[in-house]
Amino acid sequence: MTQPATNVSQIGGIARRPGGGESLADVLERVLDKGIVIVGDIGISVLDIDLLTLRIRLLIASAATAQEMGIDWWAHDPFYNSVARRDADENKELRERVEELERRLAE
Amino acid sequence: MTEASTQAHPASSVPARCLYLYGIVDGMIPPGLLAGAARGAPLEMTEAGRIAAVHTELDTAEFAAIEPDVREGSPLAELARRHDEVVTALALAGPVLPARFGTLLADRAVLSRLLEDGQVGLAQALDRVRGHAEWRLTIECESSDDSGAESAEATSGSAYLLARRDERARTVQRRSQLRTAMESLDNILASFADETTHLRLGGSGASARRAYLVPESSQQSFLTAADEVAAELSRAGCTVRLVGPLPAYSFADIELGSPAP
Repeated sequence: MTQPATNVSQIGGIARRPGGGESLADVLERVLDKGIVIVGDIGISVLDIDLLTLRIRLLIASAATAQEMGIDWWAHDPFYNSVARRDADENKELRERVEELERRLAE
Repeated sequence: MTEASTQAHPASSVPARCLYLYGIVDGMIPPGLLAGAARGAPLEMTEAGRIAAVHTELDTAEFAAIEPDVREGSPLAELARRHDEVVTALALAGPVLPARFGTLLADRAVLSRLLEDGQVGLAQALDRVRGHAEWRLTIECESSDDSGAESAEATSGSAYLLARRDERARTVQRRSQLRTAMESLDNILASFADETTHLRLGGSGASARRAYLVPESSQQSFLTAADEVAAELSRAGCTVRLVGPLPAYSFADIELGSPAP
């Protein structure tokens, strides 16, 4: 594989986001559900991966179901969502810039 | 993938330090890459013939306390992202068979035995993914409105039933159209891939997921075709998402070791 960046693209007329980050749900689904597994008693099981995977799937499925019902407060809550967090930071920065410009105009 | 049953070890047999396995690679990985992929504990390699396992040593307790906390910044999120970053970095240097998150082994002797026993199959699996990348397709379409809201406005019983029948017919027609468009996109993408996973349809036919193992030489054509064909689904209110290039997670369905009797 020679391309370094993982692209997350929404295609078909929807804006591309080359090099955009992946959601944690995407990463978890990939690393928990796929890949080489050790069977038998040769591996160390301090963590019940199957149970963890199941619980995470339930959490993610619950979130998807809630979103379908229009309950998506966490998508806009900076505490739970990195995009919302970034947007909040950008909004704060923009507000400060506007205030600064207004101050200059008033002078 | 065949899910492995997790064997519970008695607490007394769990060592304080263990090996965390990231994946299997060709034997000759440049040492500089290993250093670059490491964050925190250094990465190490254990070789067997022409293959090698990439791993790191860690405190077993670091894993023992993980909770299913799916918020960014949680211990689970940090470890999962670190796992993915290391595997992705390894994939830049050559083929890699990712290990599933949380694969722990007692020591190098155990790992060496696993590699010796499985090296023929692992070498063949590395050859399968060599020069390829995984791309994951997700299609999510808006659910058809079959709620009966419009029907509720009908004043008589027969008008209500007729309206409900029409709604159901529209829903069936829309699902059929979506299914056809999804299969069209999937067929075209699959034509560029050397392997695919099973097409997983969900949401009453309103969503689909599949992974494709695409040769590097075909990736640009694959993406161009995806863009063109996805437009129809987009117009129909669907979100088409293609993620890649990724290490071949979905094409490393390999079990190492012997199942417990």
